[in-house]
Amino acid sequence: MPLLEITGLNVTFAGMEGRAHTIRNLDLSIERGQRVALVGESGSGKSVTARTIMGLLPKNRVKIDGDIRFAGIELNDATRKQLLGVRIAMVFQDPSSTLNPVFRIRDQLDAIARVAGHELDRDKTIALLRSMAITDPERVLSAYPFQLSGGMAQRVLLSAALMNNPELIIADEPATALDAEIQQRSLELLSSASRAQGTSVLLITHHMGLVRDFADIVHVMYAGEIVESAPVEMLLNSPAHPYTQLLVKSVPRLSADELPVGIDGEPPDYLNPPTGCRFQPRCPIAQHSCSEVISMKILNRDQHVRCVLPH
Amino acid sequence: MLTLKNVSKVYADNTVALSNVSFTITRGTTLAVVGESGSGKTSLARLIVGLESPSDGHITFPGSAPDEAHRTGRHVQLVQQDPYSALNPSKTISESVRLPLVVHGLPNGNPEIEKLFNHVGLSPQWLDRYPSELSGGQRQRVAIARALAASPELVVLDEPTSALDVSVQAKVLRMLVSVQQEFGLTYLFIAHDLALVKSIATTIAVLYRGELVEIGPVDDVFKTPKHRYTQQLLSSISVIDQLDAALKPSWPQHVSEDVEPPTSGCLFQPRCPFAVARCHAKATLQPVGSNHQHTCHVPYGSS
Amino acid sequence: MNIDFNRTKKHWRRFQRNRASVFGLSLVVTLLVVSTLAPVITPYPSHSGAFVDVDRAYEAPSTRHLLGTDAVGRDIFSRLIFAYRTSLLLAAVVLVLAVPIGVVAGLAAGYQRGLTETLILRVTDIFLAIPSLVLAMAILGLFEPSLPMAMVAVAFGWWPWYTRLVYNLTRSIATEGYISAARVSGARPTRIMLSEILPNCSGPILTKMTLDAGFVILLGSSLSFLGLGAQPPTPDLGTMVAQGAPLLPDVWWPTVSSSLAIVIAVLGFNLLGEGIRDLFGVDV
Repeated sequence: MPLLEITGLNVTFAGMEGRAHTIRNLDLSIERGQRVALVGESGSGKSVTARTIMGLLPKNRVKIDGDIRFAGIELNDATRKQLLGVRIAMVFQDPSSTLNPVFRIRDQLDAIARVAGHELDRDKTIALLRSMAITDPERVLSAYPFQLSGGMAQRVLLSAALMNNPELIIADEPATALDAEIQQRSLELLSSASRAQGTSVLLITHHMGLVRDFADIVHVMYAGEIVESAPVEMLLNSPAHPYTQLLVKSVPRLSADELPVGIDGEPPDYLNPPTGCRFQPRCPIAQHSCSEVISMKILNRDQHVRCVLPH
Repeated sequence: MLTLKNVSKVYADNTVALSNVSFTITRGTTLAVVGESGSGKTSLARLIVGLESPSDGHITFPGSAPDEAHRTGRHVQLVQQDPYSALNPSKTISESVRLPLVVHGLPNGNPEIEKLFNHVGLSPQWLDRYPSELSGGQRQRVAIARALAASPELVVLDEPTSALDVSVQAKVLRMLVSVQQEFGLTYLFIAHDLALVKSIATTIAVLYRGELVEIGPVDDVFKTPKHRYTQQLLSSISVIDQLDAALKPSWPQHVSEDVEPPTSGCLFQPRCPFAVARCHAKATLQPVGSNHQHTCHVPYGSS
Repeated sequence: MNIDFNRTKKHWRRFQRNRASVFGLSLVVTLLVVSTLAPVITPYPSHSGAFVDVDRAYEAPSTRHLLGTDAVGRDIFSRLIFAYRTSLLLAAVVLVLAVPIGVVAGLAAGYQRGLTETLILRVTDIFLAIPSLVLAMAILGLFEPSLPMAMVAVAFGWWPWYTRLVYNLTRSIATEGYISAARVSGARPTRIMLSEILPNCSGPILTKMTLDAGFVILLGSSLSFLGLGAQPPTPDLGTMVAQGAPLLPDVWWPTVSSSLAIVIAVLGFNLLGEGIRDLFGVDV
């Protein structure tokens, strides 16, 4: 049984201008110990997907259909209260907005420990901070967030996420607001810690380089749909979906003399999305059959593609 | 084109942003300035466009006395990182773009604005719209159009595409390159993504904690980096295939902690696994190869 | 300045969703219309001046006199409508005087920083430290009390609030990219303050002006209650409350009706102001 299983997720936002069918028929599963990346550009719906899992979407304007199960348990308000912070942990983008500036680190970590029903174990916490490459854990524990550098604060956040030995960590654009080197380092730490504990990781990002280094399986999102899923090497070396191909080609390369080409056009309006493939208007090899609803095809054993023309 | 001589910048709270930086940019080329946060690259940009004045040293444009005239906004312009802060939300796109023209009394009617839009790949339909209706990539194009409006000679680009998606970034960069060729512009390009720098820059300058540690033709510096910090920077480039991975130097697994800067010599010592006693000596630029200089006491590739 | 009709329609639709704000808007509009048309629509327009009919004094509310008559036989309802004129005029003049001064001071302090900022802020602090009613009373104590003097006195204490509001807004707007872009393009500080920064303050300023209208009316009424505002026989809400006070509780209608009139005005402007605030998503 997968650790996290999302089936048939559809998320629609109701606004003044109409209904935006943002997430369409999304299926995603994460096995135990697996590191899964959900990759997409802005507006692709990857953050909405993460927030749906975590239950962070406003209730009154959003309609959510579909099934989300964690270890077989259906995720709803009640179950989330028990699972979040204990069996499912989250790491966000910017430590300065996640850590409360008026409380010391040890008090904030203590609060997290209490969510799991016990108090802060000072020795275990110090060992954990040390394992996150924090050389002076005592000082960090009694410090306030503003006294820590960006990198240090990020590692404190990682420690907070790992503290209660979660089974799944959801990292939504982790450390995007910080320097590339710090981002790389924090993901390295997260990756090795999760490997050691057998924790699954759902990494949400737009950064292909991080995906290569820190994911086993990649799902590519475009306009609210998963258009391709594959093991990471396969996706980067032989992408099947035209969007993935263009996306991978858009990443600047050391080995290239010229700039990448990019992708023409804009993503579709969620208020009026095309019925068939949502990438069709921008696709260089679009055909008539692309206007019909397309389901995920199995290309070869591990690669799935939502396209009429896989190659 | 532009010369900096011994430029330093110290802020009111005594933080040293830049320390004794000197370099020259040749007209028509692109100088990429790289470094992590705290390196001083943003201060450098602000000094060059005239938003701030150096505490020490001179910034000179050809044909003007040191430190004068470039503040008028006709010689130098700026494109900033955040497209969502770049445009006044209460003004239409055309009002924002025509500002430099209005300020300098240049023709600023719709035909002129449309021509600018054309250069940056924007449809004239956006003329009377408000920024809230545009995407990040489109806003950045508007910011570039505005920067080009009064025909500057030097454009300072402060990470102009780092807030954009990769597919959009590629298009905007291509547009920047073609505009540069068309108008003979000189670019000072502050970058975070080094792979990008390789494709777009002529020369690269590496800043560390306010000091210039290496400068040279981009191919030379990438192929044979000298300063250890450059080596670390290059090693941390995020790559997506083996081919690229093979092209970058390695860096030992080293825990870099936030430490106090050293009292003398090279500022990189605390983080450098190769530091030796002579690194305490003052760092000066040494030449290596043509136009390539660095300040390292134990350069990469030696011993 | 372009008026984009699509945007205006969108704003109206959003505003409409809040019933309380629409109610406030209708109250305010009604007051404005009614007071403008006072000479035409009131049953006894002449009662707004020096009119005396002692036989009709202290008449209770009836069909002839909707809110009864006062001590000298004047129709209270008509006088209230005229009194609204006085109050609304007071609010308008006070804001017209106070807002430009306050806004300009706030812009200068927030953008220029340095000595200008310190000077302006300290002066603002001094004014803010004195309660508006006390300040107005002090000023009025130096001169003959009258409506125009009352307007000046209230405006004197009102401008600093706008300075503080605009100062804070300017400080945060000044860090935006488009301000640096304007500076780099060669725009002078005056242009930047008036043309780049000020339009982005219009939402909060408008909100505050609307909310303030009610409070200015309240303050003005307090002053005239103390005899420091409009002088008799000019109809004025505060004066009418004061005149009716000794007659309570038997002859309740003069005081109660004029007090309620004040409440209605303040309520209307408050509700409207909150609606405007929600519309702009403003933190005032």
